Amino acid sequence: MRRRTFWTGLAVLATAVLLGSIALIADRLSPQRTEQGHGRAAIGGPFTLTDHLGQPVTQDILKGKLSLVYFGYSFCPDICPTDLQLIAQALDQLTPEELADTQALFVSIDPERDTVAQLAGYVGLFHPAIRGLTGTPEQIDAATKSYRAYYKKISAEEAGTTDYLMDHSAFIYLMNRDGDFVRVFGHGVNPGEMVEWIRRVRAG
Amino acid sequence: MRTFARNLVVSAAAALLFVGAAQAEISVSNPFSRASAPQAKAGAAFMTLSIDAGADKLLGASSPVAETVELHTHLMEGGIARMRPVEGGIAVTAGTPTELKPGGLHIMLMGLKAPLKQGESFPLTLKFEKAGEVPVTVPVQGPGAMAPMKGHGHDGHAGHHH
Repeated sequence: MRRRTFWTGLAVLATAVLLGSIALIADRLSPQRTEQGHGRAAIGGPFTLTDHLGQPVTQDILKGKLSLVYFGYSFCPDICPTDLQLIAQALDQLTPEELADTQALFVSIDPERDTVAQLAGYVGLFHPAIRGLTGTPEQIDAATKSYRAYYKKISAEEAGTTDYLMDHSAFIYLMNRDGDFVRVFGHGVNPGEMVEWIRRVRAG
Repeated sequence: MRTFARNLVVSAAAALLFVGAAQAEISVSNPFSRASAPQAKAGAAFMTLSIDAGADKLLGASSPVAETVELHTHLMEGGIARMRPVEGGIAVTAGTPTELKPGGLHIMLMGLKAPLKQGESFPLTLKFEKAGEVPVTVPVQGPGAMAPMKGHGHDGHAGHHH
């Protein structure tokens, strides 16, 4: 009888250890844990680029202001103008005080066509608080990796067009005054939703 | 004399096309485009295509403002925008207007010869499989315009009257 209790106890203990180990391994392997390991979601980070006025910039331009960050290209006739227009509408809904505290960054994923001068004319169409950023292919690649933005050049031959096209993720990232990621908005987001989140972060 | 003969042939050909296309009428409504940057190489035109009977297909377009004009569409997959040329033209069927609008089908202007300025307009010639050429006047709106402005829509009734 005592012997039986001993074996039962041992089996329960072994099962507990086994289940515990599985849980621990599963937790280690989950992507959520990987992100939490950095203390925050891993969107955003270092970049070195040139703005549409020809000034060199780094991730430090995010400091002290709320930022809406978008990756696109000026040759894009459709998706990018739509999202930039929504960003411009959100900026227009802000009070002068809120606007002074907020900026938008349009980061080109098409360094070949998006020269500084090209970007200056482009972002100027939408809103004075939108800064265009471009750089060398290596700099742009590094910036997209920091933000987990996706882009891919589709050659004219591959696309069957007269000029090459760019596939790209169409996300608007909201970053706080420390340059940390707050939230992502999808293509076609309601400008009011961005305004609401900008106010929430400012109040926060 | 030779010129006269050529004109006669061209007229005859045009008359044949005219007769061939006489069954259905294409109408184009609410065309618009977006203002482009001073150095922009690309732009897009949007509009609604309808046909009063049967079906037709938009095969292409041309415009003096661009070196080439292509029919494109956008595919959004998991937040990724992929712009691609439309294979085989854009179908227009009676009873179901075909909308060319931001985020989807559009007429892509490539190699702009001059910036598209808000408030101006430009000519665009649509080429249909059956209806042939249909001229349209496209008003240029704001850089991020999502829909034609009120009062401009009537511009687009590019009559292809038979």
